[in-house]
Formats: sequence, structure tokens, C-alpha cells
Amino acid sequence: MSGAGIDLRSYVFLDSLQPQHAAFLGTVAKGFLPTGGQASLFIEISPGIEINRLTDIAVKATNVKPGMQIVERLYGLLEIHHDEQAEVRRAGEAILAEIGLGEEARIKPEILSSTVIRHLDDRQTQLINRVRHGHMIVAGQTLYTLEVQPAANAALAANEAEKAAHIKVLEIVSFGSLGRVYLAGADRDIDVAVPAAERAIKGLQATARAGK
Amino acid sequence: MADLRSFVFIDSLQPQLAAFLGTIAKGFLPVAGEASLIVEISPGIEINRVTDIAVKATDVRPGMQIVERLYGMLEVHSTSQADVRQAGEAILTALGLAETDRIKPKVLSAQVIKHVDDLQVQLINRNRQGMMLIARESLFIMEVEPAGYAAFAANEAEKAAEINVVDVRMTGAFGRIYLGGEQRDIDVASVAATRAIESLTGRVASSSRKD
Repeated sequence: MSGAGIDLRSYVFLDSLQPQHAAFLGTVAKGFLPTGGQASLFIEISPGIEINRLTDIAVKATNVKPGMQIVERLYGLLEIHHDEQAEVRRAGEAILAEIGLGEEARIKPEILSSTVIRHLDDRQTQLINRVRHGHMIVAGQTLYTLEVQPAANAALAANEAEKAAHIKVLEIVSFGSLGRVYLAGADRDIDVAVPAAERAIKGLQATARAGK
Repeated sequence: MADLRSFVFIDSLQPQLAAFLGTIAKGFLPVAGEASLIVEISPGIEINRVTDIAVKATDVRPGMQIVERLYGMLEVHSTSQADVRQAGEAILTALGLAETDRIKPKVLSAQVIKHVDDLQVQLINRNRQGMMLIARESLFIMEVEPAGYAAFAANEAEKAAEINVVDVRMTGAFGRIYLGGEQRDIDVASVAATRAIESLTGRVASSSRKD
């Protein structure tokens, strides 16, 4: 489904960035850094280059701050945030109006994998720690990995998991052909985080169509 | 003739410090529970010879070998404490030095920032290599000279309290540790870190700090 030649892949509204998620974005974002408790919106479109125009609209129409604007091979990602949920929602509406689509024109996200690895070995933690941007995983913790498509929905899964359970956010990849979430923690906490993440993804309403 | 700055034996790398070393080390990665030795000498270039001795004399694995402006640093580790101690002895023998020739470490500064603001944690998180600091946690920062002892202080703090190892800088003119956590845990960790530094013996050297 496309409007004005732009395909809306993800439209992910986060009501309240959780503390670790905010800290994580503060680590990876090249733009204005969000803080915990702010509302955030992730928009992912195709073709990627069009994201420049959508950022223009968002920042001119409202007072939101852009944290990330990523133009990659096929898709474009924009993350904006503000203390006021209303301001973020208003920015989202301005973008949707521009591309002539409704929120539910987004692709219904699909979970590609959801895997728990219990009691991670010392040696495996070291490999993961070299590529993560968030917390470190320590030996003996349980690791949860989630893959979701389109990618920006990873932000929603991670945020909802952090609301639900006392986990550590290791990595969130919210752009590219698929999104990934890496969480670590004690078994009991991961066991709560997993359904929370999955429920968040499955609960998103969208016009039925297949992602690619 | 090399000058021995740090000679730091760590009996058992704690999980977070091992994970942290695994993040920053360019060489063989240690795992938790291994013994580790950090040797810091001056001039820096001599560290190449020190590494040569350690790896030829014993089965230790080198995690880091850093040649910087003035000082050189080597980290070696092994599952066997004996091997690590033997590597240390081989190094000291080759340099014609004793463990007591190391500089007695000094705490240059120690501070606790309580309830760190949302805005400040973001700045810290962009520069750290370990755990993230989360808004409203407390932050303990300690500076120690020579730098190599920062690893020892962080390891002892991690043994003592449930803190997050945010960053450990163990090279350069002086070392720094950044620990995050609940105030109650930081209260315990800061005492453990300070006590660890003060417990070490060595020769007294004047500080290189110019400020």
C-alpha cells in the first residue's frame, strides 16, 4: 500500500520510552538524544531517500526532536521524540497526511524468530559483548533474541519488554531488512519479557498484507 | 632500564570485568573466574619485550598490549593463578625488578553523583564501553594513578556490591572507573574500591598530574 509513491513500512508509537531504552537510544542515536519517559515515534518507509522529506515535515510542523534519521539501501527510518505525547502524535499525523496514508497502512509486523538461550557460556557472552551497544551480558545469564519484520517494530518489542520485566537491554536494531532485540537477565525475568515482547508485536493493527 | 609502574594481580576476574575486558580487548579474550595480570611500564615500547617473555615462559594468553605515548601496558590471563603468577615472575626477572618496585597506587579523586539526571546519563553512555548508566542511578567515579590499578579497584568493587561496571580506563596517565547502581550498592562499592587501592604496597612516586 503506498501513497504519493511512498510505502509505509513501520509506524511505531511509544507512549513512554523506558529508562534503558532511552539510554540505549542515547548511545546509538546520531541526532538529538531522547530521555526516559518521553514519547517516541519510529517511522520506516520505502524508498529510503524520502525520509529526508518526512523529517522536514515533522520538525517544521511540531516541536519534536529527531534522534535518528537513517537512509539505508532500501528503507528510511526516522525517530522523533518529545516530552508531550500529543506533540509526537501530531508529528505523526503531519507525516501521514503528507504521504496520504493512515497509521494502519503500515505492514503488520511478523515475528521471524523468538529464541531463548539459557545460562549463556562465558565464551559466548564475550562475542555478544563486542557487538552490542547497550548493557553487557554476563556469563550465566539467559539471552533472548527476537527478530521482527519490518525492523522498526523492534523498538516497540524492547520497550514493552522493559516495562514488563527486570531485564537488561543489550541491543536493539530498528532499521534494515529486519529488526532485532537482544535482552539478557535471569530466567524468571526473561520468561516474563518474552511474552510481553511477542504480545506487543502481535497486538499492532495493520492492513493485512505480507512484508517482504 | 624499564620503570615498573603497575603490577596488578587479579585472583579471579569478576563476571562484569571479564565481560568489559572482552569488549575492549583486541587480543585473546578472558572469561570470568580467570586470573589476570596487568603490567604497566615506562617507556611504552618495552612492553613488546615483556609480552614476549610472558607468552614464551608460560601458558598465559595476552588480552591487551597497548603502547601509548609514555607507558606500555600488558594484560595476560589464564585459568591457572599459578601460570599468571609465574608469568609475572618471569617478567620481573627479565626486567631485573621486584614486585615491590611498582608504584604505590594513589587515589587522585573519588566522587559519588547521586540520582544522575536523564540528560547527564546520555552523555556518559556515549563514551562508556561497559554497562549503561540508567537515569536516577548513582554514579561512582574514581581516579587512580598509575592507571593499571583501575582494573583491580573495579574487580574488588564488583566482588563487594551489586553494581554495574560502566567503564574502566586502565591505560594512560591515570586510570578511571565508572560504576553505576543503587545508592546502597554504590556506598559499598566505593569503600571496597578505595580500600583495594590503599591496600597495595609499592614505592612512593610523585604524581604526574599537572592540574
